[in-house]
Amino acid sequence: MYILAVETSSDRASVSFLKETKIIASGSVSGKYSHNKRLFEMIENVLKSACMEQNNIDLFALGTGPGSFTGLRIGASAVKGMATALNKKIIPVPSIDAVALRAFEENPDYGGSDIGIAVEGMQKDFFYCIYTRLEREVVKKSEIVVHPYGFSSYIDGVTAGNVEEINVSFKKYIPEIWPEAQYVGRLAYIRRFTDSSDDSFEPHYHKEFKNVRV
Amino acid sequence: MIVLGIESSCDDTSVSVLKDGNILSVATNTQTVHSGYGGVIPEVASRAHLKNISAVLKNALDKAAVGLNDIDAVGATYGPGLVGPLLVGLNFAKGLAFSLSIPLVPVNHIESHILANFIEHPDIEYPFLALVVSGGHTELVYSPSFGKYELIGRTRDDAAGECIDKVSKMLGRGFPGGKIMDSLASEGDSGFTVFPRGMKNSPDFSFSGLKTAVKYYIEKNDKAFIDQNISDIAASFIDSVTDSLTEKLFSAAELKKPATVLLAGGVSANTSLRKKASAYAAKKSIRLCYPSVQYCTDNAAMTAMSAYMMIKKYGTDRFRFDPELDAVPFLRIEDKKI
Ligand SMILES: Nc1ncnc2c1ncn2[C@@H]1O[C@H](COP(=O)(O)OP(=O)(O)OP(=O)(O)O)[C@@H](O)[C@H]1O
Ligand SMILES: [Mg+2]
Repeated sequence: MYILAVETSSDRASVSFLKETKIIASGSVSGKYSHNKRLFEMIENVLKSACMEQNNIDLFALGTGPGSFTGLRIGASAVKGMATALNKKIIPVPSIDAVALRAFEENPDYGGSDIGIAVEGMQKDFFYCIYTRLEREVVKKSEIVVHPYGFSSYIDGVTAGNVEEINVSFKKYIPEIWPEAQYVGRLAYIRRFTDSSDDSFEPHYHKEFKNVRV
Repeated sequence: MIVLGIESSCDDTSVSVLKDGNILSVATNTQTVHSGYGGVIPEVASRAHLKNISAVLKNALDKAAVGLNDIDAVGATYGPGLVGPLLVGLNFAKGLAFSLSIPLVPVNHIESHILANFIEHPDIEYPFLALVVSGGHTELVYSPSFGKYELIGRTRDDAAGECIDKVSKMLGRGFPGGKIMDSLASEGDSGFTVFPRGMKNSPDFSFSGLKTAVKYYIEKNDKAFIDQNISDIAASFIDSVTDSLTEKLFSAAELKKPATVLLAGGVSANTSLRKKASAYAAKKSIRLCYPSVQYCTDNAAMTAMSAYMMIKKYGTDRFRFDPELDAVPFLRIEDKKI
């Protein structure tokens, strides 16, 4: 089974082509406002280096946040368009789950314990959630909460994520753990039977948009 | 040739199927969530576009009884408009065009409002003079030939539709106010009171003075009086808006001597504007066209039509899939390159 995975929830966007959970080709770009201009180029390049055609794609994996609202929508609308055209399913995978998987894999010392995941929230805040590892999966041990920068008072143990170190002060922090398409793709493969989406699915914005009635 | 049009520049998610210049279907989801706020909230609009766009596409295809594999090209609005909403429609269109391996035509939303006229009047002659009046734009545009535009005048402040919406809100009549003000005005006496006409003797428009005048008028009179005379007040207000619009349109027409005069955009649905423009055109024996109401406000039929006309003019090679195609929120019609 071939999977095209797309992850655009942070300032670093990535695309990965996988055979089951094995990565065949990947690409990434970084920059605040470049996702829209670079996404399809990345997809083209990844397909090319994987020596694959679009009709080889069996499944789309999509990172659904939380993160940048605009980034999430760029990835989601592009993948919705492609999946509709090719008549293939999309497996939505929370990007924060992908960050957790990456944190566990890159830091095997912590494999037996829980890791707190902190994902940049784009509004001087971050999303936080505690994860544990369960075989090939990652499992949430708390709800995702939004904290302002600097918030750390009761966070014990290890935290990993992509929030800049100057903005947070965890006791033990593993920085530079960004969401990446390859992890989104791997989780999508594992979850291919459990998660299914309909056409109207939305990213995990995780922030209600509040506005004052006039 | 079958063209799929996708429009998402503001608060309507719209998809249309066009075959050889004839509309097979239009499906539109008009977002109602904004009505309580008195204006469109970009983040809320963007979320709704993404949630609904697949269903709207399916609806349009079903109505037209065509499959995605029958589509020869996609046309999508890339500006001007709200960046969040534009990005959803554009990326969805990019995904479709990329995966179907068909051309993607970037469509200028303002040009598409103008070209909406060709849906029902394919024989419109150049040069034409178009009055584009919508929620975000009020512009007088001269077009010597297909795809070429010269800006003759534009609003210095509010757009006409924006002014009508704001006045409707001030009068406690809801959002969007265009249709509401139009039907109230149709029952009223436009001579009831006189509101100012902005920017006389200039090709440019101004509507903020008018808006302020209505505001003072509402403050000066008690609520019972306003409510009692609401149709007359609406008629007097709309009369001021359409006087300004037609006065400038006619002066420019005298100067530029176009073969055709066009009305375009949401406000071109207005009864008073159509009446005044028709009277003038009849007097001067100049051809006047305006789209039927469903093609005045935002709709993807005009997007598909624009894409179709551009392909006819330039061929499909010009529109081979461009991965870098980006949304341009402040795109101007006079900067058009293709
Ligand atoms: N019958 C009518 N009379 C007057 N105004 C109307 C009428 N029908 C709609 N409108 C106005 O038209 C506007 C909407 O038009 P349209 O959908 O073309 O604008 P928009 O897409 O919001 O703006 P733009 O096209 O500039 O981006 C609103 O301001 C609405 O009040
Ligand atoms: Mg419009």
